[in-house]
Amino acid sequence: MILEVKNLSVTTKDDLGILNDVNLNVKKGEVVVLMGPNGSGKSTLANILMGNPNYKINSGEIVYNNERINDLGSDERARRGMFLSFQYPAEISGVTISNFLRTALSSIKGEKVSIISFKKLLREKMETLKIDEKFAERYLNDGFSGGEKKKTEILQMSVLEPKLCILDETDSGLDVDSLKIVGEGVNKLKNGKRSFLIITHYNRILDYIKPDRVYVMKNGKIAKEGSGKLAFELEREGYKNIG
Amino acid sequence: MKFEKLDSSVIKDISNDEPEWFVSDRLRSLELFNQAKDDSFTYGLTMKTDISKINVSDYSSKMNLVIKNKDDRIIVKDFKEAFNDESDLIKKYFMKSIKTKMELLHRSLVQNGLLIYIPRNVKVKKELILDYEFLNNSFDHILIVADINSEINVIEKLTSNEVFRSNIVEIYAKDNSKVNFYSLQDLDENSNNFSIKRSFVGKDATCNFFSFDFGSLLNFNNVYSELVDEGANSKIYETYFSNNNQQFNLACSMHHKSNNTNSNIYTKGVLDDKSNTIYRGLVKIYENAENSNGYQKEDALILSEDSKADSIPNLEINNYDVKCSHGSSIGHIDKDKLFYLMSRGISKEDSVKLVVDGFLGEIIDYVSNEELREELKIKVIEKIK
Repeated sequence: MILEVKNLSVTTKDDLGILNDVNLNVKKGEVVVLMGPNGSGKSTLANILMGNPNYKINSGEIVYNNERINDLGSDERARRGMFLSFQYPAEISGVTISNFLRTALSSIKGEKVSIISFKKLLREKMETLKIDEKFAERYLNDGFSGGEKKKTEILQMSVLEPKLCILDETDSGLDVDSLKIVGEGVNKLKNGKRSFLIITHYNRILDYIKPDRVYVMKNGKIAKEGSGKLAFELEREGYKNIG
Repeated sequence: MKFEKLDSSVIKDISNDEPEWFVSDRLRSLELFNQAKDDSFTYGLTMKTDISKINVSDYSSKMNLVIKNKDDRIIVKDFKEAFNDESDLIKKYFMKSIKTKMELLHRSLVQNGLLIYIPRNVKVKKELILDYEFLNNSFDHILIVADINSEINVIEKLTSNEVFRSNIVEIYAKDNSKVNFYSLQDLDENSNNFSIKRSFVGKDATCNFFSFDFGSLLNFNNVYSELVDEGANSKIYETYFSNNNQQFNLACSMHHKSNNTNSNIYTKGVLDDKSNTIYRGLVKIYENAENSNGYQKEDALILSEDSKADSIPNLEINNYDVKCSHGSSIGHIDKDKLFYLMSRGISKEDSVKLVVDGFLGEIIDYVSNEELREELKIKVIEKIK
């Protein structure tokens, strides 16, 4: 088991309850999809898994790779192999993608990555994702379109090679071509060992990625759990009859 | 601010071999200085810069100046030497208007004046580098005259050891010329710095200032650009990083005096520890300056609870056929940005460094000289503890 969420209840800093007794797990190599209507708490779960300080855990546990990580900083979680593809990535002006990603990779590896080997790696990954080479020297997400931001998230994921990839609505706001590139990018990262928790509202990304299991969240709770087929049932019938 | 034992005998000591007109101007300025009422530099919304502890009694400049990359076609001379052959240039351009008490003091005590003259049609691509090290109180001056259709880039780098410094840079960018002036102020934190940088920009000429203020305890930097003739352009990029007990008092102003003139002021600053900064910006459009544009923007990033920033942007518009705007922001590092960077494995400390580095890097990236760019980036990293 790579991830176990046990009886997790979460509030905002202002004590507004958002998640209530959530149980969820992801096995090694598994592709798990988390679905649910807007405002059901999916993004909150993604953020609390990654340690966003805007939320706090009231009860329950997050266990990653057999370690309780409730109190670990985001940077520590990333160094242990967790990755969150943000729904709304921050814009960091003045910091180039290349400089940022090399800093990140060096932090995760625990040793300085040489500029030459990094540039080569970055070029390869950008080529696969059909991202223009010039992007490497652009400021991180600064003035990027929605699609460019999402592709940059996947680029980061493929450079950092995490063990658990959490994708928060990565498929929203993408045109058909970008969606295909992102979908294929994710597929390339599937290697039987790497695990995925894919959060989606529309399940458009499921045209490219076949889930092993599906959770459905509603009103801050897990309302249903099922096999991969559940995703397609939901696409036809919606969330009305659940929970 | 106190100036002890300041009388005509001081001037006698420092004015050996100078032309009579130059010395008599010194003496007259000293008289006016003694009569002038105190300039208090108190302008701020909620705070003032405390100059009460400054006490000066030694007026003899001592410094090292290393000049690098001097092109053979241009003149770079100490005033003492320039009085022989270029006396007319000094007479014509040196300190033609004096506005404040500090300028009177400077006029009476100026030493180590440097004349830089770029003749007509001479375009110097390689940056002229002036490496200053102040070993004692200093009253230094740079006068740049860029003649018609010439081009020059000047970089000054400033270091010191416990000094009081009064400095004026004057730039005359004649018609169709292009001047970029870069200043890296990195005085030690026991020094006090009073600097005025002024440009007068001619027809279709451009003069840009890049000011990087990192050092000194009290730092006054006043950058002023006058768009004298039609089609004149000027930009001021003011970048600062204050920490410990540093107090900065910065002013950037543009004065549009003719048609079709364009200006831009872009200020970015970082404040840490107990430092404070007062920033004033002004775009002034005169009545006859039709079809002119003036923009100013100031962003301050505050890293500590105890640092304070005052930002006072102003517009003064006396002609309706213009485009002007101003904006300013003062804030802490965005928590969402920190979370984003940390979620990629970067420690909190390094994430702050990245954000600050990027924040100032946006202006540093405009610097064309790679060596200076790297030096500035290292300086920024040094300032972030």
